Amino acid sequence: MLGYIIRRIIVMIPVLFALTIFTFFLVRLVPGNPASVMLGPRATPEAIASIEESLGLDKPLLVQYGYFMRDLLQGDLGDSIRKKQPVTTVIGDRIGPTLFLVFYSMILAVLITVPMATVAALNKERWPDQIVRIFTLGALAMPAYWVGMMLLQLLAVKYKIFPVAGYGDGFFGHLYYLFLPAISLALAIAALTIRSLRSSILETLGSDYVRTARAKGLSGRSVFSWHVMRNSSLSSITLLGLIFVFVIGGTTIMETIFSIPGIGQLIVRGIFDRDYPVIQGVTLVIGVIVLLTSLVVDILYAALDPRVKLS
Amino acid sequence: MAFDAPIKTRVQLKDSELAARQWDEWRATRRQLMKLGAMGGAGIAALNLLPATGGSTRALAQDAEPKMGGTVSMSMADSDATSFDPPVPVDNMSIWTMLLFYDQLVRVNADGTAIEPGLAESWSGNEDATEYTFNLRDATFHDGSPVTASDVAFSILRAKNQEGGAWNFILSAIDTIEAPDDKTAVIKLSKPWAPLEADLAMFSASIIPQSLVEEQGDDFFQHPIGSGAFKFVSWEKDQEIVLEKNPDWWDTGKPYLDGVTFKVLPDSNARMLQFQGAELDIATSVPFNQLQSLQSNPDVKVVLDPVARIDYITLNTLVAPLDDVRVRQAINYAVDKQAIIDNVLFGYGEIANTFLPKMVGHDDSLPPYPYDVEKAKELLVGTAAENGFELELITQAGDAVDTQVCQLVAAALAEIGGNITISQVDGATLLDAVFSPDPNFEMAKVYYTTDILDPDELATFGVVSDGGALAIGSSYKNETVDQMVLDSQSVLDPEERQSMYNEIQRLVQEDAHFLYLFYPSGRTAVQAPIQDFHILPTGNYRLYEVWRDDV
Amino acid sequence: MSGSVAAASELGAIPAPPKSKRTWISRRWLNPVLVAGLVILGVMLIFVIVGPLVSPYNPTDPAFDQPTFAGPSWSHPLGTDNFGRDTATRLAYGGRTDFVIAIAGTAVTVVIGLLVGLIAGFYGGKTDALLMRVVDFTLALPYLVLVIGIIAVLGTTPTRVPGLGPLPVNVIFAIWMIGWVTYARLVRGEVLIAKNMEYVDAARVCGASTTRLILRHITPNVMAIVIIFAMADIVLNILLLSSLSFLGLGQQPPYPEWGLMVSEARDFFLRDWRMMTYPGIAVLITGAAFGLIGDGLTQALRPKG
Repeated sequence: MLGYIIRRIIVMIPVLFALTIFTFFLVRLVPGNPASVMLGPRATPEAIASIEESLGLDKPLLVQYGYFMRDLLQGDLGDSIRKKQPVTTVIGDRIGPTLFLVFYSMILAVLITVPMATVAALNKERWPDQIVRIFTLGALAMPAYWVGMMLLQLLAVKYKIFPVAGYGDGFFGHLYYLFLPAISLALAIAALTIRSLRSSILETLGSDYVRTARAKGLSGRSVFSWHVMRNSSLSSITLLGLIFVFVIGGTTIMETIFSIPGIGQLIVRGIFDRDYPVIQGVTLVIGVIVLLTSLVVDILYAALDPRVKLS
Repeated sequence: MAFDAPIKTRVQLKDSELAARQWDEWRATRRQLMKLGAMGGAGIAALNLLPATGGSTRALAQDAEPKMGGTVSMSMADSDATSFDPPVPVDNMSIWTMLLFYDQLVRVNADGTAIEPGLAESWSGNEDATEYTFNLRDATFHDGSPVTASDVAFSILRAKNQEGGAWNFILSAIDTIEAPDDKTAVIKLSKPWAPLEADLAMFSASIIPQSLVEEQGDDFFQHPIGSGAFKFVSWEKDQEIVLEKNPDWWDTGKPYLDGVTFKVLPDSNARMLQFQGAELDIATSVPFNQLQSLQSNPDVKVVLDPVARIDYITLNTLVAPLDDVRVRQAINYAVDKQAIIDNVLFGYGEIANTFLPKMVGHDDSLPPYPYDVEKAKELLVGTAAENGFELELITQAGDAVDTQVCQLVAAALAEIGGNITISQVDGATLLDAVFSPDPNFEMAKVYYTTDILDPDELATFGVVSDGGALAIGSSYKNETVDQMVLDSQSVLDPEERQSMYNEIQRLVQEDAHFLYLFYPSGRTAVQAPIQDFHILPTGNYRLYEVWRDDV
Repeated sequence: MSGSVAAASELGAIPAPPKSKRTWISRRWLNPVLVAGLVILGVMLIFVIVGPLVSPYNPTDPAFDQPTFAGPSWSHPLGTDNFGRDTATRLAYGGRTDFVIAIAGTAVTVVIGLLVGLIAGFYGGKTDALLMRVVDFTLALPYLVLVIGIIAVLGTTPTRVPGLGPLPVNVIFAIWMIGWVTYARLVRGEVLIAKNMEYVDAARVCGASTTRLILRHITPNVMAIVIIFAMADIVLNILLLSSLSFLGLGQQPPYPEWGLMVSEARDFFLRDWRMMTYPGIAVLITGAAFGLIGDGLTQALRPKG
């Protein structure tokens, strides 16, 4: 097991390395440069040159990359050009709200998924199943930000049940403030997980060992709750892992609409400001999270399913 | 044109009248200064009383006695501030916030019409206006240390010599600053410099404590210390900036408020929703389309102020067919600016007639390009654009108003054969395309505001060919204009200077390096208890004069 | 992309469709889910194709002779926008952009993904390892950020396409550059399963060449799964385009596109929030139609049992 984890982590290194190279050069391909953003329309070429020099942007790209890697190996992601703070600090300040939002929406999604998928599976091809199907197709096809705006109009502006924007204070404050963005994302996530869980429940119900369990005299309910759910959740866990990866890089618009100070806004602002260290830092952090998540998912999978052996 | 709807605001003057008034007062001050200069610097106090008390155009609310206490929350509508190092930032959020906790030698008065004393109690110039003596008042920085003349010399020279600074030129006429004693600063100029006082009121000339800055370096500006009305408390990046009252401020009795929290709310819906939910006391940059309904809401007040801002489309004079002045003029005739003001600004703006916003130096009598499609078509005859033309119009992504403006401009130019493609680009791409030494664009929707009460800043950027901004992207070059702006800098007679400026504006308008659009109104919504909130023409706000009547 | 995940995991359970009798197929193809999806999609297609032909209004030019912010009426069934333009007309024109971008984007990614997946799965070894690292790498980058980066490099200038008007073609390129990844992974997985199936072995024993094997035996099986997944992907590409338009990097005004219309209406959210509903519902209906088709195809291609 440990050997497996170590091997997986070693495989990550070239991928992350490629990621740093790619991001590094992509951001520099984009027209515009941080010095002119800092100095605005009235900047003189000399002023821009002098800022570029102070940021080290006048050096050959490979040299710049070398410096970046040297600092990176010491755990230093450089300083944000715009915010004049270490990128690690900037990301540290912002990753909390994003992670909170992502986990919150995934938990809400699970709470929606389990009952709906179960009802759908147990009533296969009957009307409850069709209703769930329509729900999932609709939820999948709606832009999450549009759902967010609609809920905002209804629940925050019209009925004033929820706050209109912000992150709130303390754990319960976050729960309250982030409910609307989280439920908007959760609907989109649930659209995927319900379908996946439904089909795995159906598959498990049809499998030999459930029949065996029934034959052994276990009641329908206990067979369902333990055997079926345990086995059906496997594919959903994989899926949740993949969704996590997707959502963490895709909260930008939601963060904009609800004024949440997360990394989604940070990276888009970073791109618009040509804040190279921030872009590099955030993509690297997201990359690490993504790769670690897929590792965790595989380990969980093995832990839950005795048939799977990690090798 | 004035505002269409009857507007519930205490600003009674139309923009044009206010601008005229500003100019008159500016002239009066200047004339006084000339006279005093001739008299050898006597009677300084009389001079400085004039702008401070002279003809306030803005009556205070119900003439009520301001109450002390309470705090307000106010939006930062553009983005978070970027830096509080005085000569560094180019964004208005940093600039306007800095002006609340740093002081300058002089400041813009409450009406935005004249310069009044700041850290300097009084000042005088020598006969040929090359040497000014400033007498500092007893003021202290927020850490209790006194503001001295050497801090003044340090701060201003630091700003002037800032490496790569965007604002150095503002202070470029300053040669040396001497501090004969703790309370006297003598500024020597390399040449007579008409805009000096206006320049010294600028944020980049903020006075900062020399010893602390030298000791802490860049860290100082993460938790800056000034001598201003408010003390800096905290700055949570992209969330909020908190300031608290400076009880020891030299302007005794102010500020009235105990503190201010600035919330970073660039999204206009989020901003207005928070305002509706009373989580925000002062909402800035109210979307034009919501002003009318807010004005009919008795619980809130809409404050409309004339701000010195012009919105325009810069035309790259190097590319065909825009290299032909007739085509550029035709474009100006072809666009119905009133329709833009009515339908995008919902009436809250005025047609732009010159490159200067409504401010000191603006020539109000110059008629704008009228909307005249036939005239435009006539002008195109014999040009490269006679049989139609194709141009790309770039604008900043995410700005709803600009996008709408561009659509109306494109539709209008289609009437004279223009095939205009609109491209939204992000801010950095726009900067790179328009303001780089090698501009790569055809038309771009941009705007500018002024930071000082003198037309020199905007003339330098807006029309002077080597003024550092390539005449704001257009690569405009008119040697007569260049020379006139340069000459006007040392012309101390206000009337002569105004007539030079009138001529500059006329020549520039004729050359049509911009498609002149509009001067938008400053739009702020405040909750009912908030009193005396106003935006100055320079865009900033004197929060130390704001108070709540519910404390 | 998350949709791809769902589709993939659902599809993982589907074995290759067996060769079947003709009568069975026709019954399969007529399942109600598929028919419902096709009907709804047909209605939407008619709306976007015929709508612009019959509408008396111009979708782009400001029409200040018409009322602005108007509610539904006989002359404007869905009302007008801030420039007096007819909302229904703009929805119909805008839908063309969404359909073209989503379908053109998806079609090419299918082909690229299919090729890469087939090559990786069939040849295995170093080729496979290399291609899969590229896939891992692409998946590790935040999707939206990657697209924004690519668009920022390519620019947002719309390209005039004959017959369709200006289109944000660079969005299609961005989709092409990234979208194939999921297909490649999906196809490779299927090929690995199919390779070991008896009928492929049988074909090999009979002396079929590699190319022939791929084309005749593996591709058809894999194609079924790819097509089903492509239905979900089309929806996701519409959502991607609308997200980009929301950020100002998709379709450029004054040309309508559903996401852009949502974003434009957002400026008037507090004045008239209904403006936002119509384009959102258009996306919803179209997405649901493709979803139903995907479901229907799954049923049609899945063996009874």
